[in-house]
Amino acid sequence: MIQFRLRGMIATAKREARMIKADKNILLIIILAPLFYAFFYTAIYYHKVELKPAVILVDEDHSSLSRQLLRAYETSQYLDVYVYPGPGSAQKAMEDLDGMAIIRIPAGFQSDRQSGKRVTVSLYLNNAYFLVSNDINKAVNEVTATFGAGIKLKILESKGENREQALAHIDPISVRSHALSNPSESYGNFMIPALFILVLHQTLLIGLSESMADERATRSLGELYRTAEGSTWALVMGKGSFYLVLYCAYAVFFLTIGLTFFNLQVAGSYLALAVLTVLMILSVIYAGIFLASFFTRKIVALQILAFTTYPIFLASGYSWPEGSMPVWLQWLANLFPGTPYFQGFSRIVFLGADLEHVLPELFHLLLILALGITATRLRLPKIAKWQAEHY
Amino acid sequence: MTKKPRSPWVQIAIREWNRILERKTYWLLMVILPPVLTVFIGSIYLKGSVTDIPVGIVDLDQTPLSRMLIRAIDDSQALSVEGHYLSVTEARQALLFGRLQTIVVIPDGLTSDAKSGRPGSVTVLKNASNLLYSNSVTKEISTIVRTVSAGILVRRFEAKGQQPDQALASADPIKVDTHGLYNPTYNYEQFLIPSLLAMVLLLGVMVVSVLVIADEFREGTWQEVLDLSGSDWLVIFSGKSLPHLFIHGLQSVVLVFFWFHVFGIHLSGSAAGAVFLLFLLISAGFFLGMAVSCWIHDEFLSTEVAIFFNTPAFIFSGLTFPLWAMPGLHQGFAGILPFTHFLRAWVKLAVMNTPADSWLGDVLILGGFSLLGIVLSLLFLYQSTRPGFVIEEAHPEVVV
Repeated sequence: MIQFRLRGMIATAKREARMIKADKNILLIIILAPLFYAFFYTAIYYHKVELKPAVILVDEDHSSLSRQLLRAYETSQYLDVYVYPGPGSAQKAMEDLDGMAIIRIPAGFQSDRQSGKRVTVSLYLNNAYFLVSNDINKAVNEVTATFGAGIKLKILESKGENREQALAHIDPISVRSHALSNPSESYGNFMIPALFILVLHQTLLIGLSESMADERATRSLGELYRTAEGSTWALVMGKGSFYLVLYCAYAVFFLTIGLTFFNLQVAGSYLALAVLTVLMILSVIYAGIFLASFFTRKIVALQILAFTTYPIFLASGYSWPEGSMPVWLQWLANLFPGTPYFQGFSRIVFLGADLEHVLPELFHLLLILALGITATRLRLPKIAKWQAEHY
Repeated sequence: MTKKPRSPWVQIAIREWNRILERKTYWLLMVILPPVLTVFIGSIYLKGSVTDIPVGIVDLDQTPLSRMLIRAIDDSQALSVEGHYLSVTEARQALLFGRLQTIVVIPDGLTSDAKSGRPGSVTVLKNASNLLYSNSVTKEISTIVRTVSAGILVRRFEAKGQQPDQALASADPIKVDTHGLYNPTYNYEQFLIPSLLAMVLLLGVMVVSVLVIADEFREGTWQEVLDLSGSDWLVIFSGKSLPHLFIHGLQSVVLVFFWFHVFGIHLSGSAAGAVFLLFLLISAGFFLGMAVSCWIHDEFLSTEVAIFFNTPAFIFSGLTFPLWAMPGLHQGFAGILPFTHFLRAWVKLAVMNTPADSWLGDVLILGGFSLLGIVLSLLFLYQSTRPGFVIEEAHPEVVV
């Protein structure tokens, strides 16, 4: 029995290789697209961080203290400061997106400070762009806090403390922040590994679905079953083995050379990553074959599955926490192989997780795989029988 | 009285309308998928902001001050104390299992150091891979510790004889008064939903529009179109475009209705402006898709072209990662995508509600894409309607 199945699987795999070789559309999706997309999309984040965002500064005080603060902002490596004469021109520049924030030093800044009053610097952030707004907010607060520490130092010295005492007293408790992953806290480091995986996931899903939909369109399911010696397992594994080998090779390439190209590396266990990735690819193979069994033409598979890229990624919990989504959506998202995969993947790649740390995700993927096997086992013989009866 | 025969233009439009109604794929792409994806993607961000980020505490100080810090962390809406650990090693294990996102270590002697005037520090070990978590954690914990620290300094200045107001001004001499414009609460639903859904709508429009002419060649019905229109390329173009633009126009109205009434999206600009801009985007997508369809009669290749240009449109738009930070090649590619210009105009017109002179340029560029699509479509159609044009062999397959 096992011998028959293996023979059927090998025959199906050979048939699939011949079919792909003759089909330029599938070749484009599974050979050219993964390599092109993987590097073209990820290269968006080649610089990793958003360099120095433009910030508009309006100095209404024109005092020596305000100029000192202005210089402090200008020397920040995170800000590109442009001085504007007044609020009107500053607002216009913000409306034209020439600057992403306005810093306003009010009139009376120096005189208020000299009379011992607490002074305020206003910061107007363009929150229509989150990443830039967050970075400007962080940088302006850091520069202002450092500038304020200088003032506190002078106050403490004026109260009779020496420099050493004053330095010890300006900040009784501080925060020492240490990033356990992505030390530069760059958006690029976060997105690049995920994009590699998303390209793998989607080109595999679309390419294999096209191949399976073509079997339906050309009414060759009966012949496919005969090649697989009547076994659904041999059919799926035979058809899928070509993709399994190809996509495992892509995964090795992307997660080693690809990441190294962007100065990234896997912090955790390669074994855990390999097991998780093989399971994800297998799950996508079964999901692809099952989904494609509903498409009667190859192009329909491409048209519909092209829409799944964003939903699969956004619902995976990689960028937006799964717990913050409605419960029905969490249940639905948990049916996608990408959901457990991305969760385990991010802990292995960024935090250094080992196999034991991602066991829940491995079991989750196994469950999805079992579901895929059951669904294809029930669905494929049914449509093959229908085709045999009708054509 | 004999009934006046319908003009070729009306006949082509009615024929196209019937083709849309008869084809399941068109229905799926134009009527079913957009609302399904709207509900799916829209629901992901319904909560708007991230709350209760799991934090693990390693309290080696065990004093009222350390307990006060822990309470403040737990009281923060963004953070939630998930567990107390005896060591950093133990807490790191919880982090690797995905139970925590951040570890806060309060060192032994923090209180005694604060009392004796020695500076102390609270260590935050964070998973910075996800900036959403990392930024929230940094902001919240820094604010909490800075407030506690300023309190200690205020008491120290008061002990030196300063009045409470003066002491506060000495402990925290400069305050940054932050105003978050256009989305003050950093609400992700407001930030992402309109643009993400507009992108999905555009993808749908283009995937359908690249079939408008290509499908006629695949099904072998191009001669029928030529006969009905009298080989008039202008009649074919306008008659085929109208039903699609009508349906897509309706879609943009429905989409804006969804934003306002289902997802509670707040737009500073007018709803009419939002619909106008969406329709402009749809037109650009439709006419460019139509041009591809008139040029490439292989429906598979034309669909791949549409997907190639539209799938990455969101990440190239500059909304989540600014354009100026991308390499030059990518900035150039972003520039040839209508969505990039739509988004810039969208942010100004609908989100920031700025005067017309700030968004007019972007709107004109978006209109330029439509014009380019129209001109190219007409050029290619002119070629396909000339008397000597050879119609390729049809590949009818199953019509769905």
